Amino acid sequence: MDRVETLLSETLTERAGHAPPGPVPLAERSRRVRTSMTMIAASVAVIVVAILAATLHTGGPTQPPTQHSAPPLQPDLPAGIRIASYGQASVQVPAALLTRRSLCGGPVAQEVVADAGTARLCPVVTTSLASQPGIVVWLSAASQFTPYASIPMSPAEVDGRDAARGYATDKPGLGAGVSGVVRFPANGITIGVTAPTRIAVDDILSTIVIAPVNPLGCAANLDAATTAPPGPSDLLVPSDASGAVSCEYGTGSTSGQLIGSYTLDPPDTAQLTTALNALVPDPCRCDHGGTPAPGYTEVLYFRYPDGSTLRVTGDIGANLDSYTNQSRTVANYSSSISQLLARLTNQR
Amino acid sequence: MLLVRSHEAALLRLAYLLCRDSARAEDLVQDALLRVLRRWRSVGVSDHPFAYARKVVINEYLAWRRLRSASEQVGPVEDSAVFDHVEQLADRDLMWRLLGELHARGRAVLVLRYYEQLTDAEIASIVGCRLATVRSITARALQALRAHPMLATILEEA
Repeated sequence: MDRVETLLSETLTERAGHAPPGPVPLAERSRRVRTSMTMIAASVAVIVVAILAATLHTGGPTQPPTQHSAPPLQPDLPAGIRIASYGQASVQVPAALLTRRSLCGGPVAQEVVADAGTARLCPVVTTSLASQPGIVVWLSAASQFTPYASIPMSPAEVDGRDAARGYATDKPGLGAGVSGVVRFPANGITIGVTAPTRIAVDDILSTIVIAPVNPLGCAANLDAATTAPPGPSDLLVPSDASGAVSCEYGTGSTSGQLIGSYTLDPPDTAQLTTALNALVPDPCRCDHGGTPAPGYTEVLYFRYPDGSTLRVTGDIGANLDSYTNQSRTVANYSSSISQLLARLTNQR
Repeated sequence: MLLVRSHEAALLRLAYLLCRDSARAEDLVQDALLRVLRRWRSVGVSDHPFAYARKVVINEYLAWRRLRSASEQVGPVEDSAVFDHVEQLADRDLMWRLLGELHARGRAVLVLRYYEQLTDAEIASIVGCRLATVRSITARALQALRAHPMLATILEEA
């Protein structure tokens, strides 16, 4: 150990002697006023995580899909925390934050913003963060523009990988507070956080993990998404699922790239199951033609008490959504399933 | 449970080094022991109930800091001195103060390594991240300490 490490060890040993002697009462809860472990109130804390990725064109052969059918992993997360994923990057964020995929229109506030590649379609794109105290708004157009790009960055190592990192305080265009940004040159992913304090920024940036499969079991690319045995032909989703994971893959500049992943608890899973099973195969079975509008892909993994997993893949288009379990394919013209999923997973 | 209670003092020391506040440390350990108590059927028969309790303390602390830090400013801790000039700082008082300026995860990793004397693999298991991440966090936290001008001055004089 060097001098710093030795001093560190000596300091901790000495300070440990200042700890309360105990014992800690277990018969009843302490009457001490305690910090609520529920999520941050809007007026107290604001954290925005903006995840922006460059186009992930690999230029190489398509990866074969993974053949195992094990259920997606469920990370052991602290209470009030969820995973936000984008491409190969995952980060832990407050569970109460909504997710916005559209970069169009009004201010962004207390949200996870995941660029789904649709910004260029917006008639109006928000290009700056609001300056209201305590509120941070972030927006970036596609893969080229981000307010965080103006923050000077220095080389860093994040999750064992080469990266660049920078910080700014009360920077015009980013809103009041501290802004931190991490960028990975290898895959072009940029993660920005704006919060009232540096500690809050670092508490999120320090949870960045880069992996081909995220902690919920969503592959970074649609081509590598976990497969599962085909489902029944008479019913899209058997109704006794104990939970579900939704992996969303983008379109346009984010085509095939993971742009969001969410877990659904048993009640939400049941609600989604009922809605999906209400759909029927497309009675028209005709070519709907026209110029295909940009859409995205929703890969849903339903877990069952016996340990099995059912995969339902949804192709979400502008006029028609279709869902398949490989044995049964159903159609939805009303976007009701997408809207339900957005509500269940706290998106807007 | 008696086994864990006999290690309560160790849990309190760990919690105190993380929270830097006696009251909060006691709350943290109380939460951890209650959680261990609720899961005693599975935890109690394991080889390392104390290790489980320690893991709960760490995770509760990190979760608490993540929820609080958005509104919390770094400020004076419970028993830190008021410093006017670097020459008046004791080495350890300065290091204690600098530890308070680290982010929660970095401080937790340093405490587990330099006080609890745990390996990187053990730390990774407790904190719930990869080995490379533990090393990265440790390196960054130590770098932040080493780079502080006040500490650098003292070390040069040593």
